[in-house]
Amino acid sequence: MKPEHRKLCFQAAQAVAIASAVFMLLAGGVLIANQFAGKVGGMMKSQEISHLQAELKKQPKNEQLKDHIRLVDLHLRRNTFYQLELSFNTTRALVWSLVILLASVHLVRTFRATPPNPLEWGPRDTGEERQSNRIGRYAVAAVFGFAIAAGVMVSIHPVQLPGKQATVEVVETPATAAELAANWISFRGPNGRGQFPAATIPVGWDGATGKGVLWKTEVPLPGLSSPVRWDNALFLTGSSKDENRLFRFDVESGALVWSSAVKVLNGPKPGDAKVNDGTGLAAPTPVTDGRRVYVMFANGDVAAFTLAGKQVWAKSVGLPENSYGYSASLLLHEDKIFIQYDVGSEEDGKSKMIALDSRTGQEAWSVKREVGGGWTSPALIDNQVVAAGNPWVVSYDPATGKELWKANLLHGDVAPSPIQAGGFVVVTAPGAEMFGLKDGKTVWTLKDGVPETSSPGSDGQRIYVISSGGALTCIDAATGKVKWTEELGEEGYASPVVASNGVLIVQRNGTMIVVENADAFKQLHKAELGEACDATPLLHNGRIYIRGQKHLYCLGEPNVTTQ
Amino acid sequence: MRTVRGRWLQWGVFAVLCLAAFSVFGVQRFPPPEFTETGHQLPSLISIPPRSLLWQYFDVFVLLVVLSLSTWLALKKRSRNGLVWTGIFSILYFGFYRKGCICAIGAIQNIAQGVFDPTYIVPFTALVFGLVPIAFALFFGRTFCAGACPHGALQDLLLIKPINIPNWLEHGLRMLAYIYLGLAVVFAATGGGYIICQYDPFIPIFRLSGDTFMVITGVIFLLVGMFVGRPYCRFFCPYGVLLGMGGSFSKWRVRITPDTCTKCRLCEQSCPFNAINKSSLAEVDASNLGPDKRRLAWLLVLAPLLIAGGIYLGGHTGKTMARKHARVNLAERIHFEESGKVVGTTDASAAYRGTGKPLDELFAEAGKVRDRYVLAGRWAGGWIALVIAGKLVSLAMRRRRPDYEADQMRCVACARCYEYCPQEHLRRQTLYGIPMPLAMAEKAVAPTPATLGKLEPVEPVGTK
Repeated sequence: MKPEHRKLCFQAAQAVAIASAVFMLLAGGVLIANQFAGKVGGMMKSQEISHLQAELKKQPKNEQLKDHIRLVDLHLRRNTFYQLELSFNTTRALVWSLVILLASVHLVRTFRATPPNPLEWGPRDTGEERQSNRIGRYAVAAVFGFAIAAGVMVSIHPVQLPGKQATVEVVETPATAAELAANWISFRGPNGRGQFPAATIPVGWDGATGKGVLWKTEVPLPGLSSPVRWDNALFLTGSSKDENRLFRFDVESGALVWSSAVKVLNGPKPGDAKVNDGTGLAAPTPVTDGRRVYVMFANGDVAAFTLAGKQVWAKSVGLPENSYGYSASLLLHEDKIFIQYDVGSEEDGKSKMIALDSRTGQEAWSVKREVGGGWTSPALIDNQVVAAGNPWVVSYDPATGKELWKANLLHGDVAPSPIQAGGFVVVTAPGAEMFGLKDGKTVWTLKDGVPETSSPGSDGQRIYVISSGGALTCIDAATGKVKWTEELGEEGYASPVVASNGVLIVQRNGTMIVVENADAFKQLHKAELGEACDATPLLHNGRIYIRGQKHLYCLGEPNVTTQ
Repeated sequence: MRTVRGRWLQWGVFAVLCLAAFSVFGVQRFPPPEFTETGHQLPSLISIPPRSLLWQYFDVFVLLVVLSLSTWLALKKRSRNGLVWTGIFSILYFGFYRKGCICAIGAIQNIAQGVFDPTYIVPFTALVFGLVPIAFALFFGRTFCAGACPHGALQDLLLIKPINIPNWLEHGLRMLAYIYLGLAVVFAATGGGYIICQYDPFIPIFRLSGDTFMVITGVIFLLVGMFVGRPYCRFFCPYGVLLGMGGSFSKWRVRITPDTCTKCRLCEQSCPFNAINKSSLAEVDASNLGPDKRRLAWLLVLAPLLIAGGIYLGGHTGKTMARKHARVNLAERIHFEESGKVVGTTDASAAYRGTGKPLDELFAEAGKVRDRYVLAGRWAGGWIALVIAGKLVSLAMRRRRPDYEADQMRCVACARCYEYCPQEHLRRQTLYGIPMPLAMAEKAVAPTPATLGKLEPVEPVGTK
């Protein structure tokens, strides 16, 4: 290349380099300014919109305000889009100008290049490599020191996971049989028949006047489930259309200790369940083994919580198709939770008995049930899971789900749960017949005073039932004969509870009656709770714990301090 | 007349610059509107399908072509210009068009995961991209860095005014790449993620988007790269470590001159990457080596202790590094929730609880992953300590080098030094690209070892 051409190329490259550098500065300035403008007046941070939205909350029907918000929003969006487009294009322009700058700078250097001249560098130092290596060793050692320091710093905060021992402790030390028997662990007590022989029913209280009401706490969410107790903790469920919750209350003070929502991924929402007011979204009573509390709700959510309120596992067993709403309580036996999933009709084959591993929530077994929708809870009788439905009463092996016996007996909307009394399995065809069964064979039948909704209560010898009409009937468990009947006047959904000193009856209007557990009717106490009630009460330490329509009550004998 | 033409050229280039700058358009991203009143549901986003197999094979084909071309240009053609244009092609294709993915640097993570995780099958393209450049390096040196790597080519083009870094600093900083390689393999092998890709400073540039931290890092590398030659390649690139190790075995590697080195020193400052080893100045005096021998002996004794310490510390570090694994992170969070150390749940912990799976299962799984990290941490700690010890030993040794030569591990085959060597001009019979006059060319004979002694003394300049 001739020198004059070389000079020309040098000048051209220099001009391009300068022009592209200036352009880069301009583009950079535009980019920064645009970024700043986006942060100050961005669509997502508009104070004007926030102010207008706040105003709209005060005037939700102000159409003019809505139009104004739309207009402002449109304006902001246009601005944002413009800023985005400008930013995008400026970035591209910046990159292009950088490319051109680099190319031109290289050309400038090429056309201005001068050959090296070692004469100008001076002599080489004979010890330069040795010296360089010596300092190099220090530099490498410094990097190593830096790596060690970083490693030590990082090691200070290792990952913390629960130790194997802690896990084993939770898993391998289940509550003893004595502990389970001493607590009110499930619907209608530890034996599922509403009997708690160690307890006494206090008298003399009156919920309406506040006499003997030791505490009264509002339950945050509605539900018809009954409370269960472990030591000093009462557990209760409640639901709204948006969430299912488990509550823990303190036995002594009634204080709400914690409230935990059930979190099931991709399950039906609570509000998806079709229920009527008489059942509600939270009718199933929780069950506890003293390590976990297990809950179920009308939308099919099942979950396990620690006693501290942390969800251990949760799952949906599917949205139950149930004409009144799902109400069967959970049953616990050893390491399994049993769900009587009676839904749909007898023909569609959707009903099943499900056993879940209580530790994991995984399905242990599941067997189909040839029954339609039902509302009874399963009962553990002689180490068998007995489930009553329309028309079959079936006994299952809790380990495998194998049917041990079955009887075609029931009809109608089966709601009263089976119990064990007098050595028999007692089941109820609502409002029609009661049966005393031995190994699936009918031993006795009763047609008088048969309940429609509430379950029988029993001390093993006598069975107490309350009909929808309000009649309280005492039945001889051995023969199925009626011992006595007393008209109480009000219907009751809550099941009778039997204690050492009597039987507690709760009527739907909140009237509570204590009668003597004897072969003849004798009323010991009668008082009002102060609000309607359909939940079954719990007895503990000479006190009654009962859920009203809105409150959880603790009732005791006035002026008596129990420990 | 010449002045008028020159101005036309200047303005022409300026116009092209402006047109290039304003001719870009693209798709915008913005927050989606809310249709609360009409209840309109926005259609769900459709994931971009993976690149078809045919195009993946095409990528492999392009790599093989570019790599072969770079090797030919660097070793046979010895063409700096050719390598620059090959590099520009790599930037455009592997960088801006392929958005930096697939890339040989990141592919080593796929391979590491494939080796340690039996359930993971390394994609064919990742395998080729990860191994073929190393195979080339084993025979031809780091010709991949010369023209096939978009990262290297970009930094190479950006180098405007190179500053020489002292050799001792070069030794220290280059250790960082070995540490980075160790960590990258640990995280990839244990499922902790591909940190090379996550923290690749050039990806935001190739994609013209990225999170703020990475954009800032990328810009810093670009700015530094204008004055320090290939800072990422030299001090951070984990793949460069492997290529360098491969290159140290190469038979057909870069030679400043394939003829005889006259030790003229012209190439001494030609390499902006500190990759030229100068010739030894004098014979080593064997009677004066006592301190050097003792130092070497101490370092050789210290080396196993350093490695043992590295293994020990690496194992402990692994317990913390395990937190980067999503499963371990989740398990720790839930453990904290369970033990009351934190209040409330995160989206991840709530989602896990929502699955209904037992916590013990999660803890057990996380425990296994943590154990894997501990093991991998020991390997990485041992590796880092081994490399450091090896480097210290290497720096304690003296080597005799008769000629100026390209360092086999450091040289990225950029071909800059060729142009500085007078032997190159003699061999090509050109003088800075201009053909020599016939008379001069006929007289020009490259010296050989045989003829070198017969010539006038060619004492290296300034050695006395």
